[in-house]
Amino acid sequence: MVRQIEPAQLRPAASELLAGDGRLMYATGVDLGVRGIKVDYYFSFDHRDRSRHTILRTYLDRANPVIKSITPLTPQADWSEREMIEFLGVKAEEHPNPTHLWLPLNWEELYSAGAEDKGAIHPKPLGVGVSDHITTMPVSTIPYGPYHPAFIESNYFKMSVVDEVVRKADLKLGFNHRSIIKLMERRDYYKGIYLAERVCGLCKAHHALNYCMAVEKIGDVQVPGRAQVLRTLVCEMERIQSHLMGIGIACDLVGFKTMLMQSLRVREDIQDSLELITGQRITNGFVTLGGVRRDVTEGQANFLRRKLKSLRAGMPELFEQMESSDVWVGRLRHVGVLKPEEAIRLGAVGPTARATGRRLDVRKNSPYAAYEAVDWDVITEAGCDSLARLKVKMRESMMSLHIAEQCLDLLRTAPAGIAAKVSELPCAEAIAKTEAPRGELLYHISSNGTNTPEYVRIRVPTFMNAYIMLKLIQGSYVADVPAIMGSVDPCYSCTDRVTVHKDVQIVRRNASG
Amino acid sequence: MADLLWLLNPAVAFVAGVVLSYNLRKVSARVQSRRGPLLWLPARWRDINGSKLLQPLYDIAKLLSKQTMIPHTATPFFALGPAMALLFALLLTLFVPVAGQAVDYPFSLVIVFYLLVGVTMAIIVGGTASASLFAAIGGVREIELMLSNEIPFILGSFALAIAAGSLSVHAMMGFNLLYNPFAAMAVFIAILVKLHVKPFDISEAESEIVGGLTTEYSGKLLGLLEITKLLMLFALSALFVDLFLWAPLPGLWAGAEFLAELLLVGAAIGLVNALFARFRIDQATKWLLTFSTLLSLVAVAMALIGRFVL
Repeated sequence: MVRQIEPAQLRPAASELLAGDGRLMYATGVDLGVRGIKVDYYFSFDHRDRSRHTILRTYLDRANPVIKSITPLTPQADWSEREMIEFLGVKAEEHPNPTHLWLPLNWEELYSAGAEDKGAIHPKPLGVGVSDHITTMPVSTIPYGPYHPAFIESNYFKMSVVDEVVRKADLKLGFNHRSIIKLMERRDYYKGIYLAERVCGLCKAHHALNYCMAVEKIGDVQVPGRAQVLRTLVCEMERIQSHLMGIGIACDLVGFKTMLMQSLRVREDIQDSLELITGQRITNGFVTLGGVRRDVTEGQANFLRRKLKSLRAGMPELFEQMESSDVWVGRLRHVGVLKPEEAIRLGAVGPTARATGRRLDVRKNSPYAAYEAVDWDVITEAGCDSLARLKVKMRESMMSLHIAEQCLDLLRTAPAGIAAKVSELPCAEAIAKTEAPRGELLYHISSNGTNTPEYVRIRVPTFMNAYIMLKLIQGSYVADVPAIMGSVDPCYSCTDRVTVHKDVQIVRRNASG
Repeated sequence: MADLLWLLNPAVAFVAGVVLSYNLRKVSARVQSRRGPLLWLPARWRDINGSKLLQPLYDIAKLLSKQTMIPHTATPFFALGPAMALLFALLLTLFVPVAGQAVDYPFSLVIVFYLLVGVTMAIIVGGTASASLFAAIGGVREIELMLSNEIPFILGSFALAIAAGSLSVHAMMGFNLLYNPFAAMAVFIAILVKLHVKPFDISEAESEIVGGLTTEYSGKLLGLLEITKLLMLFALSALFVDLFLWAPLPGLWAGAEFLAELLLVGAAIGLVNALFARFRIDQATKWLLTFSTLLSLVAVAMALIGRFVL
């Protein structure tokens, strides 16, 4: 549901929605040219009423895009509004911390006067009058990054430390920024699937599925039942492999290399199965508009059943070995405690929210694919600490196994037909959500009737959880930082998916060079 | 002639250190369901791969051939630290009996203690001289570990000295694992801490503080530190063999026994390394000051009872 308001009405409207137990999922804007800047605030109520969402929409004057920040009302808007400030030039008034998150700290200096419209950057030496930021503060700080053994991806993370206790931590993103959203706007809908799949290496099928779901909603495409079951199957297998990887890396970060190796060994079964049914181990390329690309035959299903059976034995054994290690449990218990009320206030999603006992799962709250047809339940833990977050992932992967097995049984009776025809897409827009392994994933796609989307917006789960991770790290020991990071399992490449809205000059080379 | 065999100890220590390092990595790899470094491989693989037994040697040769970067914030101790550590480690190998051959004084155990502390201190001084934050944190952790670890180590080995009535390592050598298992446990744990084996690799915790004390080292200085590490791996394993697993045998049998027991101790260290996650520094010091110290006190009590009561 879209509710259009005046810019001045934003704060009252937002506080009203928040008072009604709404979650602010995301806020973003689109530069529509002469029509001004369209700013959307996405609220979700699906933890109360199934599939209920509200979008607050307002149009800003392009010459003077001023908005009253709602970050003072809810910290969930913090990063979203900083993103708008950076990429759209929206002036979010009264924002408590309007520093650069994605762009370089000396971004303003990089532009010489009058060069903004041409998009030309004239680099100047760094470090002259950089705005107030922890990376420039004169405290004893420990840098993590841009490259650090604890990160798989590059980002810049700095903590000010007193007696091995972290006082303040700040994150600098943007090292993996690839403008994927902008690339999607320039390619037709089918090519968008491939781009979506490459946003993240671990939740790729969910990204592709989510993109397709949004486009199917625009075109009102009815996906065949068999395709729905196959989508569920692949997504759940992906969840297992992602969780095993996440748990393994969390073990490695507290020094338990053996368990990383063992979880990778167990994970091979899933990778083999994915390779058999989709042809690829990592970027599957399985989901497509209107359905899926390949059918799963009964012979392949039998192979999968065997693999899942071996996982049913292997995974509990692995998890038992981890939990029986006192040193490992001691490193995680009572570390990085996220209180339930804090989780609600900061807008935690995915396993991070479920580890505080909150039943927040898109698969139940806004059902998609074939999750209605299978028997499963949301996994929650009451521990609220790093150990609870990992336990949620462990039990969830067992639940995913259960779902995948049911999907294989459903395939026996599902009628043939794996893809519906996608015809012309009308001028419309749609949001779609899926539960990626790390939490709620949101796509907002708008179509203008042509063969390319008008714009695409992606909110990845790490966008919320990395913000919470920073809060958890403040006040903990330096030695606990990797444990917290491992349990939250952030994916910075996902978070860096956003786009640069300045028109990028495409240099076209002609044949003569 | 046979009296001067101890002069070969440093060379033996280096070679045995390479073998022990291989052993350690192989055991860790097998526990982790990996194949690990190969000792022997089929002829058809040899054009792309070779035996990995000498991998530590290749690593050291590579490091020694590379340029050494010295940070501009570093003091002269930065270069002095690794050299001192290597010197202490070489001296240490002279005092640790290899199949019964070593320099011996009536108080050689005390010298061994001091040289062991000397190696650690030299690395701490060198590392902290780099003015790197990670090295500073690593240095603090290393000192905390050392302080809590020296008590069980010294008490555990003094239990043997009490039983033998002498501070000479030679006089204490024997199959003391049977007579004083508590001392063996205390000393084994202390050796794990000194070698930075898994639950105690806090001062070089990769995911927390990058390389710890050795973060800023590169090239030849890092090569020296790697050699020191190999020598320490050998010296501490050999010390355990000498103190707790030694049964006097004639001639070459002694050498064979020594090597077999060395590999056994190395495998035990590798197993522990693979089976544990890393302690946090407060957990580690607490554990060492309670459990490990208690073990060593029991060992001393046993030794006292064995010597003066029974």
